[in-house]
Amino acid sequence: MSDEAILVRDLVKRFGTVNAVDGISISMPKGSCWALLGGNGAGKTTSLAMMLGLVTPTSGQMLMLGHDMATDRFAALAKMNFTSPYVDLPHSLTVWQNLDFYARLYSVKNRKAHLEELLETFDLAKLRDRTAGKLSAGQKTRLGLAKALVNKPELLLLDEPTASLDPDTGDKLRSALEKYRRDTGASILMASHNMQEVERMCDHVLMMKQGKIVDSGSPTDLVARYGRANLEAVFLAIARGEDEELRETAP
Amino acid sequence: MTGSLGRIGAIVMRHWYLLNKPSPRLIELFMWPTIELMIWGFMCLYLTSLGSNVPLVGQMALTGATLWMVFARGQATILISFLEEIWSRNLGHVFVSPITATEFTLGVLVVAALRSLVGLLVATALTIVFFDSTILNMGPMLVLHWGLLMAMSASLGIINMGLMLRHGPSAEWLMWMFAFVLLPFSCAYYPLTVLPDWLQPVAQALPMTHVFESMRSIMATGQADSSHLLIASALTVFFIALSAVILVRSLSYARKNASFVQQGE
Repeated sequence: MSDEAILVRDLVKRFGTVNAVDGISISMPKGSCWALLGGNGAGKTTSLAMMLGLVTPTSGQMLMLGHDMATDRFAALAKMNFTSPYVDLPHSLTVWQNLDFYARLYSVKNRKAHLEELLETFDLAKLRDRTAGKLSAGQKTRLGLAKALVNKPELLLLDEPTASLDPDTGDKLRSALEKYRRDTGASILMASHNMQEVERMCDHVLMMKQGKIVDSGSPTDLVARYGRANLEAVFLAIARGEDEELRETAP
Repeated sequence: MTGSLGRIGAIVMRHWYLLNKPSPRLIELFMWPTIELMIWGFMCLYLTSLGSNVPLVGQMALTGATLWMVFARGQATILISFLEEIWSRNLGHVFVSPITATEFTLGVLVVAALRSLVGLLVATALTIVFFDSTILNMGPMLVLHWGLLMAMSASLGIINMGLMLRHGPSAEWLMWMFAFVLLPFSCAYYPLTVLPDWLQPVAQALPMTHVFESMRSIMATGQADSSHLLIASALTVFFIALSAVILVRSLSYARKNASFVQQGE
């Protein structure tokens, strides 16, 4: 039995002459919540897409929940899930129909009771008969997160999970994700541009730049090491190349 | 229902949800086959009014049109069912679930078969009632001819899915034209011998041509042409195998080039 939720070795993805992901290695223990941070084009989404089996790596190895994604992808996918505001759910289906469709795809047992629970958790009960296309951006994000929990996943990959939510709703959803993690021991890897969210939820951060992991550590470690006020300032330092000396002197 | 059947059922259910309410999708289901067959029904009535041997030609054309719709509607409904996922930019979510490409394709094929059957059965019934179509005179052989054309429409539909995965939504217009491009060479409304000699090999490479030749043989003599049916069956198996290869290669291409991440209009 593997102790890692995610074990990635020397992962490379090349599109023509562009190295979108350039030899990253990740060893994320089960039950942890990690963040993948970086500016636009740093390789976060491509990395997540490879871990989900949507994109074939140019080279490298990925074990998700102990399953090799090259040879045993479907066993891993049954225990994982994902959401992103940039991948839609069917617009013409209602909230209930969307969740029902995905519950069927994941062969969820006691489907109806579980879906009712998800509707309550994500405050979607009143919207159950509304088509996804008529939801606000925030409601869509909540539906996406409900879909991501439809199969009670052991590993959640989230791409900007609370983008476009107001602070109150964002806070409620973070609490729901934290509760889910506490209750189930699930592991979470999220790409986010919300540094407060990362500082609150994640126990480890991977900083990506130009397809490489350029630094990593707990949010408090990174803040201390870079001598900045918060994680956002660390992010800016790395994104603007003010970090070279610090990284060279880092242990 | 769990496992493979459950996942195929999920795809069917997803499309049932779309159709199980008043929407333009329901009109689309019936409109094309009904309009197309009405045109040929009126043509048949006109030819019948001319007397002598012409009525048989009219009935052959009407039956040919009905069977052509089996093929054309079959591949169109596969395309529509697949495009529903592309239009809703939902393929990414579907392919990170444990559904295999085979299960997804089978789900789409089941949905498409049901969608086309509903529309075609209604349209065919209307031709029998209003235009005295003699299609039922083909007897049990009708099922075999219908089945071969549905199988061939499945292979073209799968090829379309593969091309769409490879070239993206910009290839959509080409997919809609595909069946019409094949129509002149499929000999749905006229016998193979009408085509110029140099074009006949092209027509003979298509299973539809042999199905329509056999149909005309039944209507003219009451006997199916078994040699045409055998060739049609062999060619259909070949095209289904070819479509499977194209789909597998296109999926591999899509994964390599991140098409699932960038899919959409």
